[in-house]
Amino acid sequence: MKLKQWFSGILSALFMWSAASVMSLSALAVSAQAADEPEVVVYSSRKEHLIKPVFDAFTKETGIKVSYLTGKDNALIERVKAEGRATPADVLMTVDAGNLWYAASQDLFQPIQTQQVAKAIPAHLRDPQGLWTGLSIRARTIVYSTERVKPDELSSYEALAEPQWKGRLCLRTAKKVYTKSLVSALLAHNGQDKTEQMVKGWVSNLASAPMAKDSHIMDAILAGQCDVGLVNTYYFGRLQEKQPDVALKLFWANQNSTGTHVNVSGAGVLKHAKHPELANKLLSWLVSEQAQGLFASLNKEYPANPEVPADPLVAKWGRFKQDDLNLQKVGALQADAVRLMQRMGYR
Amino acid sequence: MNRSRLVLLFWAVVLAAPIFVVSLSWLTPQWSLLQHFVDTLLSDMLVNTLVLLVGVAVGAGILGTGLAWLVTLCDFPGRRWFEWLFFLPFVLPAYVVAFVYLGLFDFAGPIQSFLREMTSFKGIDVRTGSASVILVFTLVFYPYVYMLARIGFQSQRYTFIEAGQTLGASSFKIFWKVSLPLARPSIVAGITLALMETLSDFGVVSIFNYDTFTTVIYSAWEDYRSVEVAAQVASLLVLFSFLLIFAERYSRGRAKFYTDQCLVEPPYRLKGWQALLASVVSILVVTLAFALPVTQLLIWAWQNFAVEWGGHYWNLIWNSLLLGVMAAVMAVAVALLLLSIKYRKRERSRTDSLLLGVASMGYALPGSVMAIGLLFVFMMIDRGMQHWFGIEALLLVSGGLGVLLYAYLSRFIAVALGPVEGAFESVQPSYVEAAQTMGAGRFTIFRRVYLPLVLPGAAVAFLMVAVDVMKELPATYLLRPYGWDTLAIQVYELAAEGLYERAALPSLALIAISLLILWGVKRIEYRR
Repeated sequence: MKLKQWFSGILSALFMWSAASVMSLSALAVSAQAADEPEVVVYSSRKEHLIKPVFDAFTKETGIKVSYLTGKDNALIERVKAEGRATPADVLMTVDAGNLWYAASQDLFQPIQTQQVAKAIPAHLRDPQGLWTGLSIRARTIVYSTERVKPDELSSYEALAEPQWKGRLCLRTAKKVYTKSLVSALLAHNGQDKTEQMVKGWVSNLASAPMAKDSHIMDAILAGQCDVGLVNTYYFGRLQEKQPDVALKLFWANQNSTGTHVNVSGAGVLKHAKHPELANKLLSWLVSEQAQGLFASLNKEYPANPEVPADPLVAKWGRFKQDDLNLQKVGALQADAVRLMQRMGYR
Repeated sequence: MNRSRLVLLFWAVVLAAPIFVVSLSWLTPQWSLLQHFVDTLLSDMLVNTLVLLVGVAVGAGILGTGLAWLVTLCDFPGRRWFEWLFFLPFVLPAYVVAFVYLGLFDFAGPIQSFLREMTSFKGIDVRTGSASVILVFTLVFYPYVYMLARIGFQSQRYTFIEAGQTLGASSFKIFWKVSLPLARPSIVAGITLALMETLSDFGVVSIFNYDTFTTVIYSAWEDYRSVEVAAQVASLLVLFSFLLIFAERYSRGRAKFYTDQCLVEPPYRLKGWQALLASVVSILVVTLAFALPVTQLLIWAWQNFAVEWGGHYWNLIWNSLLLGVMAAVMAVAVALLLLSIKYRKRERSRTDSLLLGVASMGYALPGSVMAIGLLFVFMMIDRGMQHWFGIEALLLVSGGLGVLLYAYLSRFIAVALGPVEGAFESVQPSYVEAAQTMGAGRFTIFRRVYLPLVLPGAAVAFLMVAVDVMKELPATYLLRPYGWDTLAIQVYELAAEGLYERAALPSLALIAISLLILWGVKRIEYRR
């Protein structure tokens, strides 16, 4: 058995060596980074192609380097939790208020120190304790076929549950956080029973099983599989950018009641940030007029700072009344909204 | 317990550590949430999962076995080409095939639109029912069955078939009574791999919004932010696949067929319409499973090249390749070590098999659950280090690539064990005995007998692990250090936004690298 043990010994040693060398190499890289110029580290669930140009502009303006790591919201939050006090991250940037609320509830943020944020961003788009702030707004509203639907047939999210839409409605899966936030806002406004009725009505009106993407919903309406759907405004913006005369239009839902549901992408400074001043500097720059325009128009969203004009394509959709329910509430009710949808068979 | 077995035990524990941690979640069960799942999702999920597994087992089983039989036992025009072409869908990431197929065959896609235009066809909803998902999985995962079944058919003696023919049996009867039973262990092993991939998949099922086991895991985690319940459901999944692994090992039984000869020339020469049919079917399969999706990707990539391509792509390509190769080298080395222990004596021990089974379990764990499990393992070690030695977050933050490579090893060791074990099986005791009688020492036996015979299997294992790692998303996404973005991540980030056309470019780059590795391995196989 000597040979086998010898062999296994060598293999184990090789493995250990390679693991060790990889570890020391990357540790070296991290320490080399630390000794470098001023740098702020961002964990972001907003995708790279949407944040890189903004960070590049920030670096050009201030000389502060931004390094970032993208990931899924929940996974990034778990990573920050697991890294604890040793986390290299200074800022957590995510989409949807539910995620921001959850990160705050897990005690991952410290209050934002800079005054600019409170000045620039309306209160319902910020955490009441100042733990996070919205940076861009997206509305989730009704999209309809201009060929088969007249706008006066439409009114509200709730009305899409009525029988006239049987076999004409397309919805995104209940697993997507945008759906969850919308239903949780409606749950906050209308209460349990009415929301259950509404979700039940939606499900029985579906023309197709729920879809994985907002873009599928618009494709399906164009192809005649359904007539109305619910989408985030920027998906419509992207489509319109490619096909300016597309036979679809947005309808601002609930203008006569609660206002159209909006959500944000946003960010907060992490509790164990190594560079809190730089992190605050980054946030105050992100809410400034010059950054807001770029940040929002990259993704055809609305700037969270109301002083900043929206992208021309977005501005053409007209002004609308926003639902000013505080987004922190929307986040807190999300789990209840999911339970409700799962009970009602909305998958 | 002797020292060799201790080494085996050590590795089984190391490789299965994330699973143990995940199972520990049962110490704090959250009954109310579990009850909610039982009330709502459970029945759908169980039915869906079972239907899916049966569908994929039948679909990939028949397709993979049939094609393997065709190319090894029949001669027809283009056979030598098809032998390799049939393997190609293996390099396609399942989620990429899923979104390409959905784009083509959806109600709004070109094919249904064309049919509605031309005929009275009303259109169908591809998201309803399980046919679409089963079809995609079959096309993507049949190569697992094909590859192993081909080896199974190849290692059969020509004389068996000849004997059947002399006795006047029809070729169908020979297939049913001789070839198939002899190849059965390989086929079952291939189907098992395909089913484990199917069980842990999240990409394809989420694109079609098809609820399976993984849906509940994700719902617990994403909707209710309960890592514990996600881990609890995931450990049920592992239990399920553990049963699958042991059913497979049991089905092999103690039967062993040593062969000293393999099929060089296919015994049946197809002529006329039979030859034509074989070629047409082959072309159809290659078109559907490989050419069609790749063509669509090429068109999209061409249209979006200017928007999507940039200097950072070289970095993504390099990272993907490096991670794949590093993980594959490690996995093959460990597989060689573990199997050389198992095959150290002529008779096999059940304990060794059990330990190998335990080491393979990580394959069934969805990548994200594996990643979270590892996160907890390292967190515990780090907390301990900090408490006892005052060293802070050594592994999680500075551990860097080590953590990620460990995740890969734990998840994909099963993929490496398969082909390497097949290679060890082909080493007949008589070779070793012959070498011993000639006075060869242990080292010489290893170098001159084992190594040359095991090398092809190791090359295949290397290929499979490298390709699997490059396709892997969730663990990479969660555990990678700074600057280690890969092509798979780029694909995901674009596809998640619904930008499938732009995601075509990184998908193609990924496929191209995998093909390059495949080509390299093919050369090693041929040099033999």
